[in-house]
Amino acid sequence: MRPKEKQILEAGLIHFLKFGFKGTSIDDIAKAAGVGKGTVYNYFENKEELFTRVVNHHEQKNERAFARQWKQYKGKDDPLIMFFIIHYRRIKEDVRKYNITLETFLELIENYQEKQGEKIESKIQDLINLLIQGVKDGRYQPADHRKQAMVLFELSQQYLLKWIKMNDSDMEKDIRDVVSFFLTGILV
Amino acid sequence: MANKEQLILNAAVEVFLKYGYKKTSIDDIATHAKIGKGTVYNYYQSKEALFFKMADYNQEIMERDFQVALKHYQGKSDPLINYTIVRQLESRKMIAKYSMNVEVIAELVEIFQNKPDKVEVHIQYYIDILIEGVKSGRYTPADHRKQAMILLDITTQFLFKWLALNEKEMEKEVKNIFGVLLNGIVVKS
Repeated sequence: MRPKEKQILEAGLIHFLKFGFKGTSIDDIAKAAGVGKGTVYNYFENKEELFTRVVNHHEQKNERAFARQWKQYKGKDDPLIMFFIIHYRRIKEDVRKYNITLETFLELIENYQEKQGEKIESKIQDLINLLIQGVKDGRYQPADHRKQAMVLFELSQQYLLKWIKMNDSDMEKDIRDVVSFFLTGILV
Repeated sequence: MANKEQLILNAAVEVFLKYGYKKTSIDDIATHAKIGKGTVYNYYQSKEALFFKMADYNQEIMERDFQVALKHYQGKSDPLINYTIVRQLESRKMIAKYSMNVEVIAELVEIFQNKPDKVEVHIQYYIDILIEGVKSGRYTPADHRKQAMILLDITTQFLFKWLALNEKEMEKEVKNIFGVLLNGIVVKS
């Protein structure tokens, strides 16, 4: 990646997180990155493309951080519980670091989901892999893993707002409670 | 119940459910019931008092419909799934009947979430189903209160998503989620 492109992506991230998708213009990002508007258009066709690339760029960084934390916690708890906790810790770190308001956060998520169907699929695939690994380890029951993964993914989506509003330790406790319930089940 | 009180409560149900708590005044309800504001204050000290009386009154009416609908549904699926689906269906009916919008629903949900006695009623329903399930040898004995609280929480977190789906899709999703939940993921010991 060229230095200028990276500058634009970093400036874009800060602006989108602070002002949302609608509240950000190419002009703002060009100014913040210290480049001309024309330069931005050399790299990105329009705001939509810039947004998608900003998200991808940020996700790659996030995934590296996720992998680091995953290694650190591996074996300390059930893999699915750890997966949820680390995932949400990352989101909360972003919310704090960039001072994202709830409103902006919701707006970005909406934009993100519209454009990132394949991203959702990759998250579901991560969960499927965890479930398959669990069966191999003799820990989880063989089951329809795609269905399980989709339910778990939905769960993480619908609990997003509740968990984001909680403090870290309450959130981790709630994740543990909810995911544990899904782990042990109800039936005999 | 005095005739006038009935009039006030019926009007209160219609106005509060359509416009929400904040946007409704005693004046609005008096006008809707076609009686004087002073008459309303003869029965209720404040908007808050009227609101919660209205909620109890409406709950009683809904509960009758709910029990009928639940009986109809019995045996279709796991009792937890039946209960959850019928609750959703009855809520949808109420939302349609009073043309409640998302903002009003969110406002009212928040008010009731902060009333421990209202939450308790719904937790107790789930506890009863869980205990019954253990008795019939279907469910594992567990901390039923904790389970019930999470079940109620799940239905709360999914409420708006489920409302946005049509009935068939909603039923399918409830079945999917509860299906995974019932079976569990970890190997049974």
